[in-house]
Amino acid sequence: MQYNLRLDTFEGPLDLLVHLIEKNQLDISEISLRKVAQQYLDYLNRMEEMDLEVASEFLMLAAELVQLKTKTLLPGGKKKRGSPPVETDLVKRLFFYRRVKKVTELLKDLEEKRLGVYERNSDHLIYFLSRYEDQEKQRENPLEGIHLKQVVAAFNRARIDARARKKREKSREEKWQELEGETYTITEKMEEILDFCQKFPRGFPFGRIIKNIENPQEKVVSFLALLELIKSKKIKIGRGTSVQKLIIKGG
Amino acid sequence: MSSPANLKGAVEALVFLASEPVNIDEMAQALEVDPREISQAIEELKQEYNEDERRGIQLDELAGGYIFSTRLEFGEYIRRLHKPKLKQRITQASLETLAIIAYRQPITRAEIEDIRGVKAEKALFTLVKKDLIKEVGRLEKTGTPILYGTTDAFLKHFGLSDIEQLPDPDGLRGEGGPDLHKESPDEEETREGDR
Repeated sequence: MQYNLRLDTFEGPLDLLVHLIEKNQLDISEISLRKVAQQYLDYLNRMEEMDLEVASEFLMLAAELVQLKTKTLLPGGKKKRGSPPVETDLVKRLFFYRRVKKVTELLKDLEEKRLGVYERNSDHLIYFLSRYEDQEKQRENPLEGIHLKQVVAAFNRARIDARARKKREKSREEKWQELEGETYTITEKMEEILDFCQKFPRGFPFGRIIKNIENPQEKVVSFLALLELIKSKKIKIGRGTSVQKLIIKGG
Repeated sequence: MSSPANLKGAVEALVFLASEPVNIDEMAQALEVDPREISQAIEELKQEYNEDERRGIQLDELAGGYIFSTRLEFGEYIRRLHKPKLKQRITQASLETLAIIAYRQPITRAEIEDIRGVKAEKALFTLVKKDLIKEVGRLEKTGTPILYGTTDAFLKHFGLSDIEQLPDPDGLRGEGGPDLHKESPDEEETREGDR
């Protein structure tokens, strides 16, 4: 539990390193880094033991520290290359990070001082408006957490939506007007076809029924009526002079 | 329309009613006087309000303008009656990112991440959403990354009149820095890509 609380307070691997260096009362330097490298690794192990996901940033820095340690173990390796950039970079970064931490604390102080200072603003106005408008709900602010800007934005959105919807409806009306006409029923069409059969006892071509129909709906209904008639054996279908032509006859 | 005979009173009235800091030029225009006269009136008002401990309100210079605010010592009572909701503490992670931006602006996300050693995306998102930082430009570099800077809301949150007012004992602002960005992985990738 104790660890958990402490783990949460680190903002990242640099934060942890600065903490370790300060805890060991060291200055920020390559030598210090080598000294605290093991503690850093121990810390990551503890995180893992507690089933905390060790962020990749922590691992990357661990690799840097290990590299730093191994370099010193290689005889003469450091002298030949002079100052390897990785080491100086990390030291530089730590110095800089520590300064950032300092000004972060300064900002925190400023914030703390300002938190208790209040200016006039619309949030107060909204609070009082609601208070006076509704004495019953005096303790509740119906607009709690809602900024005036949001209300205005919501209103504008609604207005734009309404306008767009109207426009859509209008264009839809224009597009589909001619289709919305009469409705056709299968019974009606069945009678129509039977009428034809009486008129032409010797049969008539199928095309005749739908020849003058433009409305696709009417066409479909007529066809369904035809099928219905065939099914109930009220009409017969026969082949005409050519293969494609179908002749309809009363049953 | 003419200028008011009691200029100090007029300035006091203008600032009193404002819910956003009003600046000197705005007041000079409304009162049809020289901005220097407004400054003079402001100075006198500041003395009257801010140096009198018995007052409940103070005249603040905030984000380049002036506004009346309540004194810190009465904050508790304000909270009891008015229950103001807006003032929230910024979380530690966001605050660190905000500090980097405040002292090193304009700055890219990659640079912030180099300094912090961790990702800053979430903190940046929160800070932008809270209007404490904003995009102030683009860096002319591969991918033209966004440059971030602080906003007026930032100044107001921390009670500052302008960014120069930030306490900077360490000289973090304006200084060249450790040239961290040169060693950033981002840059290395681009360099390899160029080869």
